[in-house]
Parts: sequence; C-alpha cells; structure tokens
Amino acid sequence: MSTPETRQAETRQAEPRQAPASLLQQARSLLIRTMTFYRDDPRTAGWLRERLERLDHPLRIAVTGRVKSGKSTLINALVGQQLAPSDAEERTHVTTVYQYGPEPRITVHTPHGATQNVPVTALDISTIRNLQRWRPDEVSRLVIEAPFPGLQAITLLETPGVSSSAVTETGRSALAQILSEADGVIYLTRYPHQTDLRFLESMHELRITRRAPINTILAISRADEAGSGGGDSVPAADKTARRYRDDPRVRTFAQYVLPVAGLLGQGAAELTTDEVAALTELARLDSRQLEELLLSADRFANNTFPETVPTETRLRLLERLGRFGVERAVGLVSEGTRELKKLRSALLDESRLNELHEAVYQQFVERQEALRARSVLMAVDMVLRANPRSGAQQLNGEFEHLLSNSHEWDELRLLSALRSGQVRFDKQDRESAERLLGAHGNQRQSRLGCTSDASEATLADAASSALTHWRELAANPMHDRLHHEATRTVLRSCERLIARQVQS
Amino acid sequence: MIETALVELIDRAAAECAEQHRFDLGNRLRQIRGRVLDPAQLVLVVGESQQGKSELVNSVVNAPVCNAGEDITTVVPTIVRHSTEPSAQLVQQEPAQGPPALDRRPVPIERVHDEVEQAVADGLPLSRTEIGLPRAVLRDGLVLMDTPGVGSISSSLTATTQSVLTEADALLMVSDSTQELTTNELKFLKQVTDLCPNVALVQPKTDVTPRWREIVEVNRKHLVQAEISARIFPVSSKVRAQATSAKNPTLNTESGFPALLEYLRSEMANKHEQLARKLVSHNVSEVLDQLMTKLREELSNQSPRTATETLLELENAQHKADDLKRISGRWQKTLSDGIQELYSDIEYDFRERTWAILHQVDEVLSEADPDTTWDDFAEWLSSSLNDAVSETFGWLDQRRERLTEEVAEQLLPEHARALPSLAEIHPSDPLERVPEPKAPKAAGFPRKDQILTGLRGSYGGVLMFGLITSMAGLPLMNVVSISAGLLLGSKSLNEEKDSRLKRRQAEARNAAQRYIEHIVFQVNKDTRDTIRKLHQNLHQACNRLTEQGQIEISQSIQETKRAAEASAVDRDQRARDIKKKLEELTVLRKRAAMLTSNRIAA
Repeated sequence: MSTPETRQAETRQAEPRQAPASLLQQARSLLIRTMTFYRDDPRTAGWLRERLERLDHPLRIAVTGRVKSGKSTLINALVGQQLAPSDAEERTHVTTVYQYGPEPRITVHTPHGATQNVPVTALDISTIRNLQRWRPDEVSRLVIEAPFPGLQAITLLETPGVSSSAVTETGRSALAQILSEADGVIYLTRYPHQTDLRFLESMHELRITRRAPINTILAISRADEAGSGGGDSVPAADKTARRYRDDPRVRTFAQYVLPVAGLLGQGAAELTTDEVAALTELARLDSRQLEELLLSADRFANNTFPETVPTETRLRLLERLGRFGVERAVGLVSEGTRELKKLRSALLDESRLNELHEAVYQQFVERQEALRARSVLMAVDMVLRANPRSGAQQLNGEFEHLLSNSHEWDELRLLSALRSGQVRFDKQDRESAERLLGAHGNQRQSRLGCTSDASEATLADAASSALTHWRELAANPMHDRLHHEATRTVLRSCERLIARQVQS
Repeated sequence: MIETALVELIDRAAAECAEQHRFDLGNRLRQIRGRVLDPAQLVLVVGESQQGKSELVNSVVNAPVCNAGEDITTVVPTIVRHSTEPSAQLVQQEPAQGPPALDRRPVPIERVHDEVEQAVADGLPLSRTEIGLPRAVLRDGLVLMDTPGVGSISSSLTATTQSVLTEADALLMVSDSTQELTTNELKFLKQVTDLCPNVALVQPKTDVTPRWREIVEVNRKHLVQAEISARIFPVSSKVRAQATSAKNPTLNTESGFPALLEYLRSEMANKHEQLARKLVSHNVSEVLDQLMTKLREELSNQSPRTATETLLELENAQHKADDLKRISGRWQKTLSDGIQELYSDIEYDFRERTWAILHQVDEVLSEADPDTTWDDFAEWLSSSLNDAVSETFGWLDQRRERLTEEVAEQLLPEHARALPSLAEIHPSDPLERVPEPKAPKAAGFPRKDQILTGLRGSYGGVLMFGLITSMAGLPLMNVVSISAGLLLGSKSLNEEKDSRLKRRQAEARNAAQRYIEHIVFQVNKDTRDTIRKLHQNLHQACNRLTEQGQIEISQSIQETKRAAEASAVDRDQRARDIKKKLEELTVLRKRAAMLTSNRIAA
C-alpha cells in the first residue's frame, strides 16, 4: 500500500496522458465563455474567475458532519500535522479552509467581503482556536495556508457541525453553499441519524447532482468510542457501516461508508520514540495490572504505579491516542511490534484511516477530473439561473449538452446504479463492469484488471476481449431498456480504452 | 392515604375531560391513574443510539439482560423488574381495538436476545420484553425500562419510545461523556420533560476519555440554559463491571454507580409518594390548563363571531331583496314589449296570408265561370283559409314559447325553473262562425231572351243592309241583308252572354272578399284574445314567483333577527356556564399545584 502522497504524484503525472479533450476541458471552456458573457457584471465575473482559478489549485474537499464528530481530528489526520484545534466542547463556528501555501498565513474574511491578514510567523493552534470562536456574523471564513505536504494535493474545508447552534444561526443554506464549493464531501457522523440522511439528501437535490451523484464519503467517526466504548467498538462500528452501505437511501449519494478512529490515526502519525518507550514500559506489566491500569482514562492518568512512565507522558498518550488507542498500542507492543515505524503503521491500520485515505484517493483524487467538471458545471448552472438574461440560451444549451452527453457521468451513474442494485448483472459481469467503469481506479491497467507493470500487448488483449464480451452482452435481446443502456455504457468505456491505447 | 386523594383528583379531572369531549386527555389521565395505583416505579432509560443505554441498565442490575454493543441493538423496550427467580417474557402488542389480548411468552433468560431477534424476524408485533431478576436494587419496586434509541435512521423506534414516556415515573437520559449534549438531544429532553418531569442525565463511558469532567460542566450549563432541572451522573460501566468482579468498593465508587443507585433508591424508590404527587400534579395541571385554554378561547371568540354572522346574514337578505326588485322590473318590461310585438306581428301575419288568398281568388274568378265552378271554389276557399288560420295560430304558439323563455331568462334561475309551462294555444275555428259566401245568383239566359236579343241584332242588320242594297234596286229583303242580319244577330247574342258572365264573376268576387274580410276580423279578435290571455297568465305566474321570493326573504330576515336575539340569550347562558366551569377548574388546578408543595388535604 503506497502512501497517498506518492499516489497523488502519480496521478498528476498520468493526467495529461489520459485526457484527450476531456470533460474537464470542455467544462473549463464553458466556464470561460460564461465569464466572458457576464464580463460587464463584475461580481458574477469575479466569482466565476475565482472558480476558474480554483481549477489550477488542489482539489477542494469539505469535511463536514455532526457536531463533535471529529472533523478537526480527521483533518489533522488527513494533513498528518496538528493544524485544526480539537476540543471537548463544540467550538467550530466558522468555516475554515486549510490550503497549501509556501508560508504559514492566516486570512480572515468578513461577511462584507473584506479580508484581513493575521500576522503570524508560525501556525499556532491557539490562535486558530481563538479565531474560530468568533461569531459567524463577524467572521465568514478563515483561510489557513500552511506548507505541509499533506495539503499539496487537496484543500480541506472545515464547516461548522450540522445541527449545531452555529448552523441554525447561519442557516442550512449557507452550509449547503459551502458544500457546493467543494469538489468532494466527507461527511462525519458518529452514528447516522435521520437528520444526517435528510441533510445529505437535500444536498443532492440539484439537477446536476442527480446526473453525477457520487461525491460523498460517509464516515462513521470516533469508531473507538462507539457502543459501550470497549475493545469491540471498532468492529461494532464496522457492522454499522456495512449495514448503511447496503441501505438504498445512503447508496444514492455515498458509495463509501467507513468507520474511522481519527484520533488514533492522528496520534499514530505523530508517535514519538519517547512514547514508544513509555508504551514498552507499560507492556512489561503483567496483564492483570495492566487491565486495572487501563480500566479508565482517569485511572491511567492519575496512577503513579509504573514510575518509569511520568504523568505528562501518560496524559499526552491519552490525548494523542485515546484510551482505546493506548490499549491497542500496548497490546501491539507486547505482541512484539516495537519499532516506531511498524507500530505507527499497525496503529494506522487499527484506526481505519488508511481505508479512508484509500477511499479519498479512489473517490476524489482519481476522479478529480469528473469532480472538478462537476463543480464547474454547478457554478455555471448557478450563475445562469441566478442571473438569467437574453443571449444566455446558447450557454444554457451547451451546459445541457455537456451535462447529458458526457460519458464520465454515465460511468459514474452506472457505477452507483450497480452498487445500489438498480442494475443487476451476474457476479462476474458485475465485477468486470465495475472494473471497466473505473471503480478500482481510473488507470487503464486497473480498468482492465491488469497489474500496473503489464505490457501494452497484454493491455490490448484484455481490452479487446472485454470489448468482445460486452458487445455480445449488448446484443442480448433479453435485457430491458435499463440494462441495455447499462451494457452500452460499459461497451463505450471499452471503446474509449481502446481509443486511448491507439493514441498512446 | 395520599393515593386516595390523588386518585380522586385524577378522577375529577378525568370527568371534566369527558365533559369537554377530550378523550385523548382522559386517556392520559387514566394511564397516570394506573401508574399511581401501581406500586412499581417505572424508570425509563432514554437517549440517542449508541450512547450506552442498554449497557447502563445491565450495569445497574449487574447482568447482561439487555443486548448491548453492536449497531442498533435495542428494537423493543426491555423492562427489568424484581422477581424471586430470574425470568424473561416476550409481550406482544395490544390490538388497537377489542379486549387486551396480551400474549406473554416465557422464554429462558439466557436465550432472551436470540428469542427477541427471532420474534422480530418472524414479524411478531412485540411490545416489550419483561425480565425479572432477584436484585436488591429492584426490591423496592424499581422497574427499569431500556428503550430503543431516539432519532436513529428509522423513525418507528422514536415513536415506540415516545409512547411509553407517559407511563414513566422518571427518566434517565443517557448521553455519553465523549460529547456534550447536542441541540437535538436538548430538544428531546425539553420535549420529554413536558410528559415526565422527573429527569436525570446519565453520562456513561467516563472511562473512555479523561475529559469527562469538562463535558459534565458543559452539559450542566446547557441544562441551565434550557431551563431543565436535572442532576448529572457520570458513570462507567466498564469500571463497575471490574469492581463487581474484583469485589472492590473503591473501584465501585469510582464507577459512579453508587451515586446513581442512591439517587434511584432515595429520589425514586422512597419518594414514590412525592413522585406520584409530582406526576399527578404535573399531568393534571397540564390537562386542566388545556381544558381551560379551550374554554377561554370559546368565551373570547363567542360574541363577536355570532354578531358578525347575523350582520352578514341580514346583509345577504337585503342583497337578495334588491336583486328581486331589479328583476321584477326587468321581466315586466320584457313581457309587455313581447306582447306588443306579438299583437302587431300576428295581425300582420294573418293579413299577409289572406291577401295571398285574395289574390288567388281574383285570378281564379277572372277566368272561371262562378256559375259552373262555385262549389269547387267555395271548398277551396274555405280550406285555404283554414290552413292560413291554423298556420297563424301555430306561429303564435311558437312565439308564446319564445316569449316565455325570454321572460324566464330575466328571472332568478331558481324561479325560472318554477315557472309553469302555459297551455298550448289551439287554433280557433272562425269559419264556423262566419256565414258561407253566397253564390252569385244564377241568372240563367232563357231561350226567348236569346231569340229576342238575336232578333234585335239581326233586325238592325237586315234593315241597315236592306236600305243600302235597295239603293241598288234590290228589294229590302235580299240575300245580303239577311246574311248580315244573321251575323249581327249572333254577335249581339254573344256580347250579351259575355256581359252577363262578367257580372256574375264580379258578384262572386265581391262575395269572396266580404267573406274573407269577415274571417280576418274574426281571427284578429281570436288572436288578440289569445295573446291577452297569454299576457295575463305569464304576468300572473311571474308575479307569483317574485312575490314568493319576497316573502321568503322577509321571512329569513325575521328569522335571522329572531335567532340573533335568541342566541344572545343562549350565549349569555353559555358564558355563565363557562365562567362557572372555569372557576371550578381553577380550584381543581390549585389543588393539583398544591400537591408538589406538600400541603394537600384529603
């Protein structure tokens, strides 16, 4: 399993090769034309220009969800640095954007459109915390730039929690607007409640989102505290996630439902040798003593029993890993994983953060073209609908054309239809279809089910055999219209793969 | 006994409910009554999913009676009560109608989770699981009820929880220590305190995070802000389990459970009386408040509404009367115009027809000899006149229908329908009343007259030509004069015949003309009579309708006035009743309020 950074680098390399007159380019040109059309309206044009500039910036992913569902923690885990302040109290009232910048910088946007730089030399969590506590009518958003490698491929948007008092003040529409700015959404909840589902459904009511629905990952967060909060919490969360993955309501907007223990993941990434030493000390205790010690967070922190582990270290461990994390870490150490690196990756596995990374990569980074095109089209749609004027019909027509004629949408939609059970093939065909549609990655190799070092000849063989197979299926008269269209879509994907091959 | 006082209070309130037809409130009171008489104290454990509700119940009784841990575990409420032997029962839902056929099925306690799962999978309408345990905690009548989570994905679970809320003596709201109370939870708490005022907040999972103290503080703040009075108990099931297995009292204290159990014991078990008072006072007060609000509303809404209604009705009637007046003017004009038109039209029509006949008569009589053709002629004349008369009357009938329609159009729709259809007009038979035309006298042309005339003519001829020829020396009577005499004789005979015919024809024509004039006169009279009768009939019918309408309107106006006067009397009566009732209810309400301040006298 390679780290996200290297994968993102791969995609960036692979991008120009696999994009002949792509959807994104078409969307971009539509955006530019819309901008020209509205050039006499500085507000709209400026807004559209911002959108255009964003296309050259990293992918924007919104992290949103219930109050206290661990949004900040997850952001820290995704960035791999302590950046977003996380507290026991509900506190994030201001939308915060975390993006890459060569120097640490904090910019405050007021609701009246003014911006102000906060002079900082280094990013200090308490400064951010203070800024985030401002009321939403004083500060509309906070932009934090940091030179962290984790932010090079993606920009993260942190929103106030759904159903928090801050959201009722600014209104749901404001939150929806923030989310419409994002190319992808990670929705965090400790347990999917009706309010969550209703909120997510309401986000997917737009015309364009019906056409290209999938840009959401639903994460069951704080999995280590689910249920009774014991050792079986993560499996329990796993079970919940599995059940919701099969729920037809959830499947219409999210393919990935994952449990994640963000705190553990973040802690694991920042584990120091000191802490490993402390964990090793703890692992030396016999099991009964250990059990008593780890019974509760209080006991662990306030006990002076193994004097080799000072109280500060204990507190830090608790802060970093949580009680469940400490328990798991001690368990892993006593099982023999003593090196820092190995321990880190083992704990990362425990936290399921790797799976989330994987999902973010597959769902967002690999599909960034489609997602960016989606955002662009949504922006164009919003402008065209908010400022209708004569002469916009042509733009509208092009918008419709792009919306309905792009194969990428068809692929994504068929994928979700396959996963939601609307379209049913037998198992083998279903797997092949999902692969060809890019469910396991957008690369040619992964679409054709070959290893990444497969030769051109093997790829060509695989492509042509897939083409033949699906051509046969497409000719099957037993299919109803829906399935017939589905096979045609897969067939077209095959043809595009071959076309790409010919080009390269 | 305090119970008797409470029950009496409830009964009186319930009677008031029945009187006001508020059976929903009555049912609620009945439930409360059952609870007051029941020595058990029902404590409901509520909260959102995955907060550790079931775990809490398990820890209180030290037994894994509730399914805890994974996913949505609690589907049906579980009741844990005291019994000498461990036992478990599945209770089916009461049918909505009919006798309560509670189906209880005992199951082995160690298999209770599987049994519940099986029953739910089989689609049995389970209402709850009942579990009996020999525990000291439960001995004083404490009954714990574990409820399905509120606000999770399926809304039916929430409904289940809310339906058992009214039965509860007290609530334990569970919200774990990893998170402060959310807006939804606070909203829920606010909602449930209306139904059940005894609430305590339990914060389990203190073992998970060292920060649980901060959360307790934040929650306390939240509760104060939301104006909910509830104590907070931070607990840890895990520590409690460890403490029980290690028999370690310090650990047990650390788990937070002793405080919670103490609360349950003292606040609830021993203060059942106070609980009952609180419960009764709260519910009865609320029910009475609702009744009183309703009555006050009626009182305040009563008078202005009926007054305006009366006014409206009167205004309406006035409008109708005006309408009727306008309409009667309209139909009268239509009718008189129509009748005038009808007179002239019909007269003209028949004249035209007779003229046509006269014309024909002239033609015929200029050719035919009335002497020979009179009978035929007379027959033809009477038949064509007959036709003309019947046609004219037929047209008159059509005109009558049209006129009736026109008048009906001017009336109100409901009146137009009531307009009687007038009798059809029958053509009169004027021919019988008019003497038949006399045939011109058949003055024959007797032979001797003919000879005389012939002779007169021939005499002149003979004389004339004899004189002329005598000049030529011929005798007076010669061939020429005799032939000329014959010629002229026959000529004069013919002329005489012709003039006689002419005279006869003129006579016949005169007779026919007279006859026709007579008929025309008769028919005109008949039609005029008919039209006058029609006019009268229509006028009468319409007049009757309009008058009826007017009578109706004036009656309705009078009725409205009478009703307004009468309702004013009724209203005063009702207002007095309501005021009296309100006073009674206020007294009752005061008694209910006094329950909590401990000053009730039985």
